[in-house]
Amino acid sequence: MVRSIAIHSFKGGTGKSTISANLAATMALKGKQIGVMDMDLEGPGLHVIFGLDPYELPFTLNDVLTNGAPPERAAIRMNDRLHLDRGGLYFVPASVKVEEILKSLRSGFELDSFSNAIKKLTEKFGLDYLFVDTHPGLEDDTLLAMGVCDNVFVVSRLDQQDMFGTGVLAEVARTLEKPVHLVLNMIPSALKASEVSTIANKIGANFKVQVLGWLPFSEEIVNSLSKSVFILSNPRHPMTKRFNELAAKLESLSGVN
Amino acid sequence: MLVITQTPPVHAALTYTLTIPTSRTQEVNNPGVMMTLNVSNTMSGSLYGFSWNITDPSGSLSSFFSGAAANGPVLTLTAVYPRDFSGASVKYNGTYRVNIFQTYPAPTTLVATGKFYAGLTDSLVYQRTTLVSILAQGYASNENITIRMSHAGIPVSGFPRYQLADTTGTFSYRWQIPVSTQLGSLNVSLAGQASVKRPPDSQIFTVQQTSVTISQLAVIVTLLQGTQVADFSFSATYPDGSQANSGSGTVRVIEPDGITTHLVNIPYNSTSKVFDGAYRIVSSGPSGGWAGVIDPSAFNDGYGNLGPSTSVVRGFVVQPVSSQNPPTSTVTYLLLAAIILLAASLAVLVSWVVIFGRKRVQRNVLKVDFQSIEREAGRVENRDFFAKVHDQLKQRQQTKPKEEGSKEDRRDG
Repeated sequence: MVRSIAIHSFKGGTGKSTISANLAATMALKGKQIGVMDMDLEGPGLHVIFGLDPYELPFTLNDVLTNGAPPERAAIRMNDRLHLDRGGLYFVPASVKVEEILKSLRSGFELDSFSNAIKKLTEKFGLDYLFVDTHPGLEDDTLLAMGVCDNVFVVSRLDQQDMFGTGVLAEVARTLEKPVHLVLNMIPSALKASEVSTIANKIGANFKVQVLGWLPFSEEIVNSLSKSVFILSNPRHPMTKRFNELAAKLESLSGVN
Repeated sequence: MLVITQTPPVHAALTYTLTIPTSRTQEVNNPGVMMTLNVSNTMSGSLYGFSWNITDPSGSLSSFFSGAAANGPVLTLTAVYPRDFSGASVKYNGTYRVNIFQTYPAPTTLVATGKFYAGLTDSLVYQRTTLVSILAQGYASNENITIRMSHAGIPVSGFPRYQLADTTGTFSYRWQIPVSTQLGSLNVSLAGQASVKRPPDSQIFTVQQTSVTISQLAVIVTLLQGTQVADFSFSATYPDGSQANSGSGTVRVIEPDGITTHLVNIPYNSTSKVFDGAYRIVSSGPSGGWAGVIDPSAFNDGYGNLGPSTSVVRGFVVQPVSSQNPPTSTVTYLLLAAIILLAASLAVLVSWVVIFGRKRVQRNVLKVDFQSIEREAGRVENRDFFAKVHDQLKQRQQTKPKEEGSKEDRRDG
């Protein structure tokens, strides 16, 4: 059965989309069938990482949610483009056109249409996992993704405002009875691994969330300007190993396999 | 590609085509400039001989002889400069002229001409922030070289600079063009302390503006003294990965009707190290979905470097002011403010430390205020849309056991 995972952060710039794209590619390389959905309808950006020209996309998630377009028509198989020789990676982009963004915000969001979209995508492509990259903060579309997906991943930096937001996201997700997992990102290099583990455990315990893992700050990822899937262009980089470890933890989560 | 053909009266049927794929090279060229001579209408078994003569920019001539017996109607001969030419080098910038003479069968006749150029830089046109690679040779071992760079006769900031040639007299220098460098023609010249080159090492190249990438526009809408304020922020990045820290961008704020727009200038904030600025939504402003757009080339770093190449859009929702639980009177507002202040003070007192990092990332840095978290979560959970999602999820959970129960009943039946 597919596991849909909503990837959230309270603030922008936490590396949420980078994690979504790289985790998806890592899982695909393990032979899994993976879906990635750009649910950041207010400010889509995943298409940049996947190297797609947003103005050439015939269908987007906006068409699915507001015009009733079949979700499988908005999905793009990325294997050839990303030179993935294993698994499957299907990407559902969001529209970058102002009028379509405004239309989506105007018409609002329906639980059923989003839920059906996930179901249809899963059936059509035999997905093992579906990552839903959301808008930062707690807007309606964020709540929708949180409500529909099986799991909620919260991406946070070691930052005062991020910590506050992570607490709020965890609290709201708990009300919706969704299991929450925390991914700490952009950890300063000054901190030792043992220190980060201690910090992560304390945060997890106090927010009553499971810490899935943590990723150090990587200048190389920042310098890549989000223009490619980092693990695919840097297969031997230490960050690629980190994403593999994160993917292994994801697979080992009880009830997620 | 440079192709020059000449059909001489040596042999009425023969035609000659000289091809030089590299029309421009740098000094110290390696592996050299390849030239190909195709002779058509040759007679199989007949011998043909050619002298390749090249005059470098200093006027020095070097030659290479090649010949072969044709084994068909086309004879192809190649030569590589300077590898095949005795005493030749690419140590001057300027034009290298190629003359090919057929020496056999007699009489000796000029059959083809061509040329290529050698310069100091690896390109003739650059965008700001890119790297200019300068190569030259013909200097003394470890000679101190002066590098001059000028625009309209005025030295470019930071020049002249000095650097030693290597032990073979080869000089290599790399310069990353700053974002503020003057646009247009720049002249680069090299001069040794002792060596005098004729012609001197001097060349012109063109500097163009560079592009600026803006990958995301962030917006936070807050309620400030009864008015909603949209705070926009973005980072602008040059092609080399460095961040712009000057100039400004214009955000076009679009109201929910998709027609009414407002322009907001977003300057650089040296404190937060991002471009940020605010748009105050008038109290009569409509609620619903708004959008902020940075149009193509709406950002200028102050030096003429523009971006983004395509629109960057960020939608945001403006709630009705009344739904944000505004105070009903000044007294209530003051009371609420006092309560919040008191709660915040208490929260600071009872808040505890989460982080035990290094001493500078210590317990006073990261604090968690659970009361604020619960308050914010409560605010979200009070929203109509949250209640709608929550209710629908509950209904689904209630429906599922029924469906599963009826399936079991069918199986039992």
